[in-house]
Parts: sequence; structure tokens; C-alpha cells
Amino acid sequence: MNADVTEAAPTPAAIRIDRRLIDRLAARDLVSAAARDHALELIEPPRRWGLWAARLITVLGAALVLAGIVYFFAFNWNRIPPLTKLAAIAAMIAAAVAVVGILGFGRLVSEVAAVAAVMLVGVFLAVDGQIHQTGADAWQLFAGWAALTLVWAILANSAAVWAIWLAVVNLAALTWWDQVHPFAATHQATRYIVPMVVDGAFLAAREVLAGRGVAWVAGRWTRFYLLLPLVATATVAAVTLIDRPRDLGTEEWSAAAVLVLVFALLVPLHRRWRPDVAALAATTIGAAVVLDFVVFQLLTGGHRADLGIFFFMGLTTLGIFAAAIAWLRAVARSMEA
Amino acid sequence: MTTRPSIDAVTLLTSWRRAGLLAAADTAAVAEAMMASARDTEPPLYLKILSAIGTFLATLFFVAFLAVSELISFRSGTGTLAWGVALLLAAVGLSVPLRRAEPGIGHDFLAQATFAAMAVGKVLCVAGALLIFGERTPWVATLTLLLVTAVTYPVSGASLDRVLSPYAVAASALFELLERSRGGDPSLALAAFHAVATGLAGWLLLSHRRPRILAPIGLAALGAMGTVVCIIASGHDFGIWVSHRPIDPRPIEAMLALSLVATIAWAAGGIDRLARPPLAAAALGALLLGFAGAPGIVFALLLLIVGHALHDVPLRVVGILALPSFLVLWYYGKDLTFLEKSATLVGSGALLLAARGAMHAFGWGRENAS
Repeated sequence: MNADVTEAAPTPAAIRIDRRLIDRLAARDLVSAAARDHALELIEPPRRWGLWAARLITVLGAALVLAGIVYFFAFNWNRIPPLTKLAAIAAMIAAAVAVVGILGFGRLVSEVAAVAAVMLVGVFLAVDGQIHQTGADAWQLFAGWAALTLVWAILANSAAVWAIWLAVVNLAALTWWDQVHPFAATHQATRYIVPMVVDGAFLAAREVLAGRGVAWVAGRWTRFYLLLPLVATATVAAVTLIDRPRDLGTEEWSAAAVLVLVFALLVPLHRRWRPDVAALAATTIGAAVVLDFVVFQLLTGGHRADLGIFFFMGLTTLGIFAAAIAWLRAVARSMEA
Repeated sequence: MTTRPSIDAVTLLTSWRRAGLLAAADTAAVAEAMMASARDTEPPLYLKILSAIGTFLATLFFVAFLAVSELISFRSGTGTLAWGVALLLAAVGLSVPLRRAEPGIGHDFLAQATFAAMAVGKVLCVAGALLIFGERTPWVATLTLLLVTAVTYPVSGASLDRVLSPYAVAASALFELLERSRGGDPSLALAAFHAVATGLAGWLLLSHRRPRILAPIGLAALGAMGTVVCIIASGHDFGIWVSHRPIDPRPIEAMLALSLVATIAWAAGGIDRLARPPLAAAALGALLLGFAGAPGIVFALLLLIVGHALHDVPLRVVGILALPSFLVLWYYGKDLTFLEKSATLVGSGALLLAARGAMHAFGWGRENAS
């Protein structure tokens, strides 16, 4: 038994038998080896291994071929005329779009092709910027990339394509802040406002669409793909704000308002509206770290911590995280009930 | 509630009975064992992460307290060691009421405090031993870590501590083998280290008859295997950066390829199943990868297969992240021109896509395949 975090006893009706439970029964010789094999085949039919391997091989094979094409261009780069470089990339984009057009949406191959098309637009813009020496900043490249591929993302109905598009938008927002604002501003909490608003809006849209039964967006990974960066940026922004609590201007107060909104909405979102205890745990981790830092700042008042504060903070940290674990366990129980 | 592939208890018992695999007289005992096992579940990963972050932060505050208060003088090895032992004893003492505590915030506070005392105690014990015997004395840190791990492992209730502590022993031993063997060739010692780690990981993770309490050591051994793989897969020099001499990776690559074949056989249900055409093809592919000198890719595939078979999400996630990382490292590390690399990449990619086509043709990759 694990003493660090224990689970309560399940009700008999809720018992689900997974591989670990079957292995335990077999290890205690309560069931025969044949019964164990039979149970494992019921849980994971052998044919699923074939599907799993086929998908792995498809993605790997396509990735290797694409990487090989990139290396081919790298080898011949200086010898290729500028127009040929752009034409070759454009041809690859057209080929990828053609694959999607022929096969239609909703298949693994067409999804891989759509992802390749979106990626190649970024390559095209980068190469074009290099050939014509436009002098554009990196954020303009990312913003242009996102703008040009937005329609494709809308048409593709693919979580993978949206995931790449959103990463490009986040990169555009962060590089825009870093390149437009003075260097000192790169350590300000306000740097994270745009990514938080964008990721938060997409998370809200994801939950609404998944709730309405839109299948392509409903994969659980999409929730964490949006939630984890959102919580991480909110936590970093909050700690940055708390670290310098004086001289707060309008921008800092705006960031504080967004932060409060993010944490205040995420808790009921995954507690009541779309119950998911693992997602709630991610938010709880961020909130616990922020709370710990708030208590430390309140005790030190921005000055050096003394002996008693360190000891008190050790106990307080244990208390905060123990309370968080106890609360999450209670929530998990109530969700299962 | 489990999120892994599962079946409800009633359906499974009925299926066993219908297939003649469970006698009527044994059904009640098996059902009772199912109930008991279901009560004794592993805590979910998110609670372990929350617990680990809390313990880490609390440990930092307590160490800062001990340092600022000058209760511990880091100039005195004996004093540091004594504090370490005292904290370990405190952790062991706290683990007694912890076992009896009712689930709730009090239990969790006690668990966190025990984990923090254990972590600080172990760090101080190692620091004390290094101060007493000197940093240059070989194997001091490893032996101290081994001793404190062996003493605390049976009483430590924290599953994370049971993984990290043996891994620290392995990492420390690896450091001794590579860093302190400047005069000789470390290849043989590294291969022996990898063989031991592979054997332990194989037994403790794949055998359902292993004692459950030792399973975390299996994860630590897998981590040790991953560390060795990272070293030999990390560039052109096969570990010169860490051992100051080139390491011969071939014994480790051979072991990894054989491990991958053995893992495929294990996942399929036995070595005899390798005679089936799709599994024979998979085993052949694993051996070919071994010849390609791609230890990282083989290890990532091994993680993916074990994670998929055990329905272990963290292992699968590590495997998914490791596979592209090691692929990039392999192609980056090969001493080839861009054109040769391009041909190799397109060739290997085309081979995989052809294999995918063959799987489709033979019906191995379809949902309704037999």
C-alpha cells in the first residue's frame, strides 16, 4: 500500500478489473495461467496490437520521409535557384493538400498530410524571408503563418492541425512581446496575458464542442494540450506578479484580473461543468504553488526570510499540499459516486 | 476508478466460468480477492505529482532552516551524518502512526512530513559520509545511498521515494564506473551495469510473480537503462564526454535488441508465439534495428511496448517523447553527408511505409483481423 496518497475503498458494483488486478490474482495462484491469458485477451484483444503497430509505423514512416526531404534540400541548398526552392516547397504543399482532397478528411493519412501542409507553409515563409531578406521580425513570420493557415485549420476539422496552429499563435504572441517591448518587459507578468487569453478561449471552445458531441475535438489529450500550458503560464505570471507587488500599473492589474479569472473558472469547469479530476489536479498544483508563494511573500514582506519563517514555511507547504491532496481525493470520490 | 482498459468483475467471472477456467467452488474466493485487491489500488499519477512537488518545496524550506539556524555545520561530517540519521529515524518513527491514520488531511500531512524527513535525511547522510571520507574516495556516495535505501525501503510508504532512492544508487554507481575509471576502458563495466539493470527491470516489471513491494526498483532499473542509453546515443563520441574514453556500444546495443525481441515475445504471451508471421516480422525488425546501431530508438520502442502492454500511461508518454528525440539524435550523430542522411531517412521511411502496406495486405493492421 502506498502511504503517500491512499485511495478509499471502492463500492463492489464499481469494481473494474484491469491488468494489474488480474496479475495479482495470478500471482497468488487464485486463477490459472490459462485464465490469466483469457482475461488479458478480453481486456486487450491481440488485433489491437496490429492496429497500434500499423499507426506507429505510418506516422514514423511519413516523418522519416519528410525529414529526408528536408535533408535533401539542406544538402543542395546553395546550388538550388531561389525560385526552385520556393516552387519545390509549394509543390509539396500542393501534394499534401491533394492527398487530403483525394482521401477526404477523417483518415489518419489525410490528417498527417494536413499537418505536413500547415508545417510546410511555415517553411515556405522562412525560406521566402531568407531569399528576399525582408527584414521582418520573427513574430511577423509566426503571425503570417498563423493567418495563412487559419482557413485550413477551420476546414481540416483536425485536433492535430489546430494543435500546431495554436502553438504558432502562442509563439507569435510571445515573440511579439519580446521584440516590440523593451528587454526588461520580458520578465513582466503582462507578457503572458495574450497566451492565457488565447489558450483559455480555445479551452472553453474545446469543452463546449466536446460537450456537443464533436468527435474530432473530444480526445482527452486536447484538454491537457490546452490546459497544461494555460496553468503553467498562469502560475509563472502569478509568481512574477507576487514577486514584485509594488508599483502595479494598469497592465499589471489587468494581468492580475486575468489570472484570478483563469483560476476561478478552471476549478468549476473541471469540478462541475466537465468533471475531470486529473485536469482539476493540474489547476490545483498551480494554485497550491501560487498560494505557497503568496504566504512566503506576506511573511517576508519582500525582505530576507529569517529562521522562523523558513521553518513555518516548511510546515505551511506540507499543510497546503496535504489539504490539496485530501480535497482532490474527496472530489474524486464524489465524482465516482 | 481505473482509466486503463478494463472489464467489470461480473462479466469476467462469468466469462471464466463459461470457458471452464474457474470452478464454481473457487468463484467466491476469487470474487473476494478481487474486492480486496480493488481496495488496495495505486494512487493516481496526479496525486503522486502533487505530493512530490509539495515535498520538494517543503524540503527546500527545511534545509534552508537547518542551514540558516546553523543547527547543522556542513564542516563537520559526523554532525551532518548524525542529523541525517536522526531525520531518517524520525521518518521511520512517523511512518508507524501513518499506517494507522485514517484517510484525510491529517494522514496526508503526516505522509508529506514523513517523505520530507526521509528526503532531507538521505541527503544529509550522503553529505556527511562524503565529508568524513572525502569526495575523492571512490564509492562512498554509492555505498551510503545503498545502505540508507536498504534500511528505509521496507518502511518507506512513499512510492516515489521507493523509485528515486534506488535510482540514485544506480546513478551514483554509474558515475563511479565512468568518471573514476579514467585509466581503463569502461565499456565492459558499463555493459555489465546495463545487463544487471536489464535483468532487474525485466524481472520486476514484466513478471507478475515478482513481489509487489519490489516493483519500484524495476522502474528505477528501467531509468538506469535509459541513462546508459542516453549516454551512448548522445553524439558522435559514444560517451567520451562522460567517460573520457570512447565506449564500445555494441554489447549494449546487442542486449537492447535482444531485450526488444524478448519484450515482443512477452507481450504476445510467450516465446512460442514468435513463430506467428506478424510477430516473426516484428522480431526480425527489432534485430535489424539492433544492427543499425540505434540504441535510443530500440529503447524508446521497448518503453512503448511495455507501456502499451501494461496499460501504463506515464511509460507510454515517456516512450512517445523518447522516440522522436532518439531519432533526431541518431540521424544527427551519424557521420554522413546531408545527401547520405537524406537517402537513409527516405529509405528507412519508405521501408516502414512499405511494411505498413504489407500489414494492410496481410490484414495484420485491421480492426477485424484475426
